[in-house]
Amino acid sequence: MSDVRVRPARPEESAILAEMANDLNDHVGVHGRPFTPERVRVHAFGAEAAFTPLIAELDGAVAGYAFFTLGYNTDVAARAMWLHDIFVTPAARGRGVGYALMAAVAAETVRAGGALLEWGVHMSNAGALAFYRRLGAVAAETRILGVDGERLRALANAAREPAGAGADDLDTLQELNRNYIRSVRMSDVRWFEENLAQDFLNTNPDGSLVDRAGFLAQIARRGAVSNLEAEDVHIRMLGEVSIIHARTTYKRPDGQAGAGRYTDIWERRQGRWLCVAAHVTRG
Amino acid sequence: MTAPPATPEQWLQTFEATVRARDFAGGRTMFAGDAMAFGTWARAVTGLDNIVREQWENVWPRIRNFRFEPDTRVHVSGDSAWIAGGWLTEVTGPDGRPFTRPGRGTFVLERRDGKWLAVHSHFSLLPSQSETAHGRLPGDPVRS
Repeated sequence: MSDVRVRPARPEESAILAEMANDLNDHVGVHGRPFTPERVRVHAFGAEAAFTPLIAELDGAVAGYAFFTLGYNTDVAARAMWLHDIFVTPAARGRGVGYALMAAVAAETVRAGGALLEWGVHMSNAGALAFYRRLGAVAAETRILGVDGERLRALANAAREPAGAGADDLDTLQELNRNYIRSVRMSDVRWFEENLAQDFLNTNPDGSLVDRAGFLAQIARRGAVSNLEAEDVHIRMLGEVSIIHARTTYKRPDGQAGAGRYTDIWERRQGRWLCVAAHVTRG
Repeated sequence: MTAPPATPEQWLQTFEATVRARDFAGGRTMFAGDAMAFGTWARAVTGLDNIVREQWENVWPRIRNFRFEPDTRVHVSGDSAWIAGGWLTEVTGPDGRPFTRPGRGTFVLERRDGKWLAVHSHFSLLPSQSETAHGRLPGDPVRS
């Protein structure tokens, strides 16, 4: 009979934990293998560890792991354990290793005073879904959402704004950005006269650097491209200065589709946002 | 230990020297961890680790004598600043001959804990400049 044992993981097992955690990500279609032994060492065993790791052994060999963190569930107003990962190596599957890991995490939950043990599952992971159904797990009517990367930072930056400024400023800048693009498209010199700072500086796609007067003159002449649109617009607030950057699509004079990027810098002067610099690149 | 640049102008001078020395570790101290870069090699990169790997490590070893032009504009607004200007580098062309390649750069800096850090950079080549002219310069040291 196979001998399954679950125990706390040790720092010297960071490498094998990273390998298994990356294998689990690959298994559910999350690529990039973000775990490294160093990350596991810091996040599982460091002074401010983010989760607790368990190792499962089958006949004395490492056969799986679980990562979990004690949190809180406001539906029941009680402590709840969140299971980040549970994984069994392919060769050890079907031999009770997963069940032993789940039982160990449940025991930790009860010991910590948790009212429930929760986890997420990739809906494409049919094997995991069947396993959880056998455990008697029920699905909550919720979906896990998240923001990451630039969107997370933009949201975080909004929190650094003075009270009452963040959301309103973002709305204002989004509108200014839309009008900027529209005014390039429509050769709306007047809009630019109202919204460019006197010391505005523009880096053109051809590498020339033009001041406000030069830029207004080139807007009046109409550009060489048409159908200009901005996509993937990001606004980053730095107090009284804001960066707006985006990708662009447009039609070249020969009718071919083009793409580029721009960085616009805005500054609040006397309570009003004015564009102070722009850098436009076209591919 | 070298003191961090006290002004955006000093920041720019230090950055020029850092690129010329291919001092990636030094460059890391001048950018915020959450910086974003629009570049000549990688189109758009978020996060300092990615900027170093996808932009700097591909460009810095292939250029020499990187410098911004004297008329580069620097503007400070509280704890933010931006820099816009033209730059020049020497690169090796497809025929193996060195030539000077101009471009344009824009930085946005933010002063965090008293230290100026770039949070956004936008580099572009002049359209006439071939992006394939990135010949590695032989015998140049690279610091890591």
